[in-house]
Amino acid sequence: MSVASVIENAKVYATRTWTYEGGLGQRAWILHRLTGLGVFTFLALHIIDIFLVGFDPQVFNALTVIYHLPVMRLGHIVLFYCVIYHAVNGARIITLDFFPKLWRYQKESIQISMIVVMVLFIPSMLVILYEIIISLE
Amino acid sequence: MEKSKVTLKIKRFNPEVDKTPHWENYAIEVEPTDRILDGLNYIKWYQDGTLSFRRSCAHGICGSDAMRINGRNRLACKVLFKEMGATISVEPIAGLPVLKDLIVDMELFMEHYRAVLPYLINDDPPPPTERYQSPADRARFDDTTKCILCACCTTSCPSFWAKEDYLGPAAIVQAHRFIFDSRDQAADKRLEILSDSDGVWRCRTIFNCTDACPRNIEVTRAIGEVKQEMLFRKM
Repeated sequence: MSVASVIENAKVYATRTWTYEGGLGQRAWILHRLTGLGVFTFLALHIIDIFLVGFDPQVFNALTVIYHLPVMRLGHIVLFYCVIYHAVNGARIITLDFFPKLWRYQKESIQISMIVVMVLFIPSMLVILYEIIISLE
Repeated sequence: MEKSKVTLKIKRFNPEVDKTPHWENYAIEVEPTDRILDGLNYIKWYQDGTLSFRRSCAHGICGSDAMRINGRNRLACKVLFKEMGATISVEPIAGLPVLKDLIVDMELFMEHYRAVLPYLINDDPPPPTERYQSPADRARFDDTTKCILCACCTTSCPSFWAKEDYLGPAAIVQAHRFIFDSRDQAADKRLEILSDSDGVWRCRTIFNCTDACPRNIEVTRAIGEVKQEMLFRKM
C-alpha cells in the first residue's frame, strides 16, 4: 500500500467519522481516541528523553528545562485531562461490555463519566495552574 | 394537508461520467407526512429519471432503501419530511463501494453475513413433530430475529469504516440469533468465527449501530452478549 493511498484512506475515514451524525456514544469515542493519542504522544516523548540519559546526560538536562517552561506546564493540564478521560471512559466501556443489559443507560453512563472526569480534572488543573503562577512570580 | 417546499440535496455519482461524487439539489413540494422515499420517487418520475436508488416494499420490511439521510443511516421509507427540516441531505451508506448514486455494492456485507453460518444447524434426526422450544428459550433471541439486513448498522460503524474485513454488527446480530437458539448445535463454531481479530472484539461499543437500526434491535447489547458468551463459555 502506497503512502498516498494510506493518506487518502485516512482522509476518507476522518471525514466519515467527523460528518456522521452519531449520538453521544460516537462523540465519547472520538474523544477517547484523541485523548489516547495525547497520552501516546507524552509516553513517546518520555521514552525519548529517558533514552537521552544514557546517550548524553547533558542533552537530557538541557531538554528537561523545556518541561519546566510555563507553556509545557500548560501541556501538563492537557495531559491530565487526556489520562483522566481515557481512564474513566475506558472503565465505562469495560462496564458496558461486561453488563450488556446496561445498554439502555448508555447516555447516562456518558454523563456520569463526564462528571467523574470533571471532579478529578478540575482540582488537578487548579493545582498545576497555581504552581505555574507561583513559579512566574 | 398543506404542501411545503423542501430541497433534497442528493449525492450523485455516475461511474461512466463522474470521477468523484457531487451534490445536486432538487426542489420539490411535499406534504409533511410524505416519506423521503416519496420525495425520491417524485424526483425520479418527474424531474430526473437518471437518479438511481433501491426500493422494494416501501414499508420498512425489505431494507433495500437504506441511505444516509441528514448525516445518519435510515430507511427512506420510514422517515417523514416533517422530521427532517427544509433542506435534507441524502447520500449512500458509507463503507461499501458506490455503484451509482444511492446504490451500493452489498456483496461484502453479504459475504460477512454468510461467514457466520446464518442458518439452523442441528445434526439430530428430525423428530416426528417440530423441534420443541419453550417460550422462554424463544424469547432469548427474539430481538435479533427482527434483522432485515438493510446494512444501516454495519455502515454506521467506525470500526467497519476503518477495516472492511470486520464482520460488522449485522453479521454478529445474525450470529446471536442462532448462538442463543436452543435448537441449534453450532454455537461453538460460530463463536470461533467471531473470536477472530476481525470478529466481535473489533466492536468499540460506540452504539452507532443501535441508534441507526430501523427495527430498533438492541444491537450493541446483542454484541455484548456474544462477547460474554465467548468469555464465559471458555472459562
